[in-house]
Amino acid sequence: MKTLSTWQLYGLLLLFLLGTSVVFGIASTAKQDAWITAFISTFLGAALLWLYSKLYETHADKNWSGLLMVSFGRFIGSILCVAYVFIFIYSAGRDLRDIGELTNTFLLPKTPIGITMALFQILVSYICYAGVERMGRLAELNVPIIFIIFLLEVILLVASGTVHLSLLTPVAEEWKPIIKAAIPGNLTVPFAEAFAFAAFWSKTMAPKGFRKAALLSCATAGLIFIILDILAISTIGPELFARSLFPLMTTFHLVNFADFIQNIDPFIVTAFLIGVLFKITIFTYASCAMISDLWKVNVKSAVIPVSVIIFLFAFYMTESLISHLFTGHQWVTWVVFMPFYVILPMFALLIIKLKKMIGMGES
Amino acid sequence: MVQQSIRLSNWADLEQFTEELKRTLGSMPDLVFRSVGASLIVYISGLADQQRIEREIVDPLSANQETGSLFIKTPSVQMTDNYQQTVQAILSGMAAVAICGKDQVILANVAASPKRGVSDPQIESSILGPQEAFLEDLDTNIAMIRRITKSEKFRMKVWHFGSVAHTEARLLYFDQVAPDELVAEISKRLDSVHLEDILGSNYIAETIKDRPLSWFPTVQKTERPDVVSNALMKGRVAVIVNNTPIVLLFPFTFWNAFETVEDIYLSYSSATFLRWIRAFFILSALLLPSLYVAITTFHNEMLPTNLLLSIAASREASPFPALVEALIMESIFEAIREAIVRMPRILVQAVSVVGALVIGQAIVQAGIVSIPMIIVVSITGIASLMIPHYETTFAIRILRIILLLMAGGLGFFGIALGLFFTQVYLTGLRSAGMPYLTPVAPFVWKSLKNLIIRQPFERS
Repeated sequence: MKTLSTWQLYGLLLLFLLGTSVVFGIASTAKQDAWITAFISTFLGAALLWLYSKLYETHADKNWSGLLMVSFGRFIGSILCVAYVFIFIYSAGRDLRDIGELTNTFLLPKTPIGITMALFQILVSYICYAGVERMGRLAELNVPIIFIIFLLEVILLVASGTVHLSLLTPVAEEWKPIIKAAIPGNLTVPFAEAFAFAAFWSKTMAPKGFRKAALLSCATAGLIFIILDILAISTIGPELFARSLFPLMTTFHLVNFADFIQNIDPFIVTAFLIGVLFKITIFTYASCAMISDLWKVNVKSAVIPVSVIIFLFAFYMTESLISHLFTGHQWVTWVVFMPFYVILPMFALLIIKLKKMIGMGES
Repeated sequence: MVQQSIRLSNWADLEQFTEELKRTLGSMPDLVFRSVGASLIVYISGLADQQRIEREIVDPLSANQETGSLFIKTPSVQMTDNYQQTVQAILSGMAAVAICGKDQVILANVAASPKRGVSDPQIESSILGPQEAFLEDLDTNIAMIRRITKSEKFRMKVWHFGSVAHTEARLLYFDQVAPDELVAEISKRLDSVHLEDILGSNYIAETIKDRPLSWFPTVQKTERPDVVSNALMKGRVAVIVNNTPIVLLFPFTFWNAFETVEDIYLSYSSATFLRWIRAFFILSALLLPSLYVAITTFHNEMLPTNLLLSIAASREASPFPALVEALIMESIFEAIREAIVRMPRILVQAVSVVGALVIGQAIVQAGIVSIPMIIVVSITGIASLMIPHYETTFAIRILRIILLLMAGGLGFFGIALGLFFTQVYLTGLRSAGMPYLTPVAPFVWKSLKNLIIRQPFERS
């Protein structure tokens, strides 16, 4: 059953891609050239999404679990499915922790992190319970809001007179950090993470529409990343940009419009919540969809248990924000994201294509 | 035992018929039996027009003692031999003419039941639009709609509800304009209604709307013939119930609640301007108190220093946290609002004095509630009066209180959470099969365009 329109899937993908990236800044290790990194990784991300859609095209009626069975056989396929369930749970848990830390830092310093995360995960379960169709409608409602807020932010920042484009120089002095920030860092988060849609893509749209929505949303997200990077670097300078935990928050902290609109960070953080909400929702739903495919149960019945596990993961995952971010940047990328979101899908695509070629040769 | 068919072959039968009627209806003072020659006229004096009976039935009958319906001048006449039908007809204001030697009764429609004249719309007033509203009388209401539309595609289906009140309800639609599924769906829902007594269209609205327990109205209630005609021409359907001046329209989406009748009577630029002003203030009606509470309680740093100082100074005297202040003021405002609706019209002045002076002035001087809170609640109150659709105001008001509580507990995070929950809830709501948030979600550009800017009428 294909339930979404192009615009709905575009919205879902766009909000997913913006997700946590707008909070933590994009490719900040590349300093003043972060925007070049964003540019490059957008292209690489688009290529990746295009390959995903090719993979989807081979069996338009099958989700990723089905494709795993086809390419690796029943036994290995099932084991990999279980692995994916936990990877999606882990990804959702990481993002939920991000929300908790962000809220704790900027909005509610006195409220225990467990409460905010639990409330947020209840909301996520509700959305997953509502299903893909309503998720699509929810995205449609929120995409215009995101666009308006983004436009407001840019206008306010530029009008505050804090943007100094000269801080962007020297441009591309060294290419090594630029590439290093793009691969794997910026490529995996957020672009490769969009592979989570594979877990339930047969419910969304036909492969053609999926590709269109994916490429369009990738381009939009890339554009937003580039603009935000340029604004952030030219406002706070490359050094602070690279060192800050939340570079974009530090940037918007400097908004001062006519001495009246100042310190709008609570507002900005609230706006960021929209993206992260969709990211966690998609991961949670992906995990539930995998479970439902594997054990032939209703997606809805998996929502509550999965949500509880995600919450526990998020709660006991790490001791502090710093170690949380360090884990994310250092080894999760190599151990989790690269093999499961990039290499395995490519491998599966290769196997399916080869099988088809052999099959054609025989007949 | 009530006899089913009527036999009137001789005088004795006529006598018996009279007795039977007296037994069924009771020998009431307003039940009139009148003999003219060999025939008997029965009617209820308040419901039937006595002058017409004189002119159209008695005169011809006494002028020509030959019997037969030919001599009755009433335009609407029917014959029946069914006793029950005769009783019903008398009760709805017709005159029954029983003639000796005939086995049938002539029912002449001379009904003139008491009704008021067409008056101004009270709930949905407009400045440049037509100034007429529906009445309690179903036939007049339908005539008003027909006068505006004059279409051969106009169709009606009829239902009757309740064994006692026997209230008539009709489904109105335009053939080939309203989608067949919509007509079938509403017909199916009306078929399944089993209500004993119906006093208003809300009885039907509440039983046939989607998710009867939801706060959000999924059916439009209007008192304006032009609104109903406009909706019918656009392919919506109307349910009209006798004895109610309020007509139901299906489907009704969330955004319909923010369109007024005035929109089509004003130039497109003024209509759009007003629509945007309304949108802004309705958003404030929903969010202003909770934003104020969230900012003063959790996010003080967002306010410019001067404003922060002046708010802090005026809040100094107040012993309550902002949330409690807001709840006090909100409930007082709701109380005044309800009082104004319920009390006798003559006393409105008194409430204005009490509301404005005693509460507005004294509550601040006593240091119970701070001035900024009064300002916030007043703006909110005025803004919530701008919502054109009366029932949506309740949804917004209830939601406002919930958001207020969330803001008091969790600041901006709470407001965002509350809004997200509402959004998810609304995405699942439907009105007669149509998703509640159409045309925004699902996205329909053609209608969305008209929602953002009232499109100018096309010239060609």
